[in-house]
Amino acid sequence: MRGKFYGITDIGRVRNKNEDAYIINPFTGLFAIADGLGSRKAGDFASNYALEILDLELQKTLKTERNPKIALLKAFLNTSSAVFQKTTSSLELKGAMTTLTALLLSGSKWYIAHVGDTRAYLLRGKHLYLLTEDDTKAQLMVKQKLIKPHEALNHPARNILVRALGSKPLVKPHMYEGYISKGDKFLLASDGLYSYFSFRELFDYIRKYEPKPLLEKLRDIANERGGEDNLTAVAVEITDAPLYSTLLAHFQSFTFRRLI
Amino acid sequence: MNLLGKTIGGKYKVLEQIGSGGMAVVYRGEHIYLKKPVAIKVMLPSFSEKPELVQRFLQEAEMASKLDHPNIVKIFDFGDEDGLLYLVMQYIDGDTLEKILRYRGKLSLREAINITLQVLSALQYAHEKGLVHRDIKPGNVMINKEGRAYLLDFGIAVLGGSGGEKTAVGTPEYMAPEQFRGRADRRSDLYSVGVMLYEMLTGKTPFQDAKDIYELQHRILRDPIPPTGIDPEIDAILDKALSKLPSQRFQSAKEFADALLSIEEAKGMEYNTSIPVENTEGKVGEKESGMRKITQFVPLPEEEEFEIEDKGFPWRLFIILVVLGILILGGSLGILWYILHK
Repeated sequence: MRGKFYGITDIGRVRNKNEDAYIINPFTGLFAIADGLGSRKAGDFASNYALEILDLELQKTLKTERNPKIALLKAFLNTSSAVFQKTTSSLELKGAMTTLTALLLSGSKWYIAHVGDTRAYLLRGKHLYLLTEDDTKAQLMVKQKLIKPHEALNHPARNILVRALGSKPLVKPHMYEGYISKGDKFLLASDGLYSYFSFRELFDYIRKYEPKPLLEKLRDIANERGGEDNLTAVAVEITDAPLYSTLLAHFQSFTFRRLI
Repeated sequence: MNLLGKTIGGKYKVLEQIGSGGMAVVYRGEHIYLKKPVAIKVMLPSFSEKPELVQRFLQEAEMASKLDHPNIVKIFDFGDEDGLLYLVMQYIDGDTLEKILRYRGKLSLREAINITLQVLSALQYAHEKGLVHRDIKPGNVMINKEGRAYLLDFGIAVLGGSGGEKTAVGTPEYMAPEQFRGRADRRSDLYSVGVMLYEMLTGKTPFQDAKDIYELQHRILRDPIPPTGIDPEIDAILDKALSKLPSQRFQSAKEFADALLSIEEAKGMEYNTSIPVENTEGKVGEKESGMRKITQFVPLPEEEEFEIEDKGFPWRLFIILVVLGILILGGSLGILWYILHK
């Protein structure tokens, strides 16, 4: 497969430090974002550290594992324990945590490992899908059937994280996978970005723009609308993929959560 | 703009031009009452119209005036003379490291370690104050006749660190990989110190032969640093200092300095001693100066492309499905036939 990508991170208009971060490794096919939380220096340390370790670990596990999904899972688990060890070993970093949403493209397929409330969207054909599930209190309430799925996305409890790297020695990620279709557009985004847009707007912008102008547009609008949090996004557009995986991918779309 | 012989701010007489940077000219001057030598940095008028550059100039004045360290040039005064912004600083009787390198080509291991230690000492102090310099390079290090090194130009220094700016500012050859993506923290400064040490030892920066900024950027982001071959210990230190990932570098200036002090050549040196640097001005003649070594706005990387090897068509799965299909179809036909003929 072939494609184009771009990444952006911005401090926003209100905060005085950027706890968001992203990493892209075009050689392994890793695209990941993280949104850190914690007092003082800790938050931005946790997000940056997690991304660096994930990148390094994945380079190792991809060499030893034949299945990219297992490689991603192992690298993610190792990252979660590294973040926990690091943040609990120093007083200054105590309590630091981070979300982590990692997209791996490998052999005509995509794989996502995810913890937290950063999100992965997919635009395919005439639809926008949400590939990840938020680890928030609102989402938990959906599972307990207290609220409806569509209510969760705008519920007050959607900002309360229930899982993040650094909270436990080992945090198991949600794993998702599927085939790649030609024309697929992935968007990884932190809450500082996606909270400012309706699904319809996201859909329109993603469909209209290529990765770089898309992210610049989304960043500028989010900042115009308040920019109350750090924002980070990575956009990947697949310009070429084999016919068979494109066909299989379109069959699979039915199993994803459709927003538009 | 001819200021020679004039008096600025009512008390600083401009005597001679001693340098010029991308956006300012530096003069040697004198306090007319105290007869004390000073350096006066005057911002070029063409830049005074650009608010972001004026901002930088003001920032330098404010940041640097808060610093008090033997290896950092002191700021005495700041003002505006008929629209010309100027900064009055401690006068250092010496040359920039850039100029020394141009004359000498390269320095001895001992000299290089000594200068690096002094710069690290200044950085350890600045970093503890939460200040990141962001533009460490030989052009921003002055060496006086006794070999004392002074760090200059906190013009693009920023409190804190990471930012996610829309453009990066710096001197490309000395910039750490993450700076090209608009991020910098103390470890980015330590990377630049590594490049400077590399240059002092070999006479060139690691990717000096890159033909343009894009190739340079690409190589800084991807290529390993070619070893100096001078000493395995120093190569190991440079390897660490110039890691692509900040988390694999020295995490503080002190840690970097301690590694240097453990080298045989550094025997007898301390964290902050100065040994005279031989000045052979005029002997070798000026070497051709690098083109890109000026501080500039560096474009962030463009949209990039990637290619990932596809797995071929999953034939095995396909054959299994076809065989299964035939079996199911054959089986049901068989059952149908059996029922009909019973």
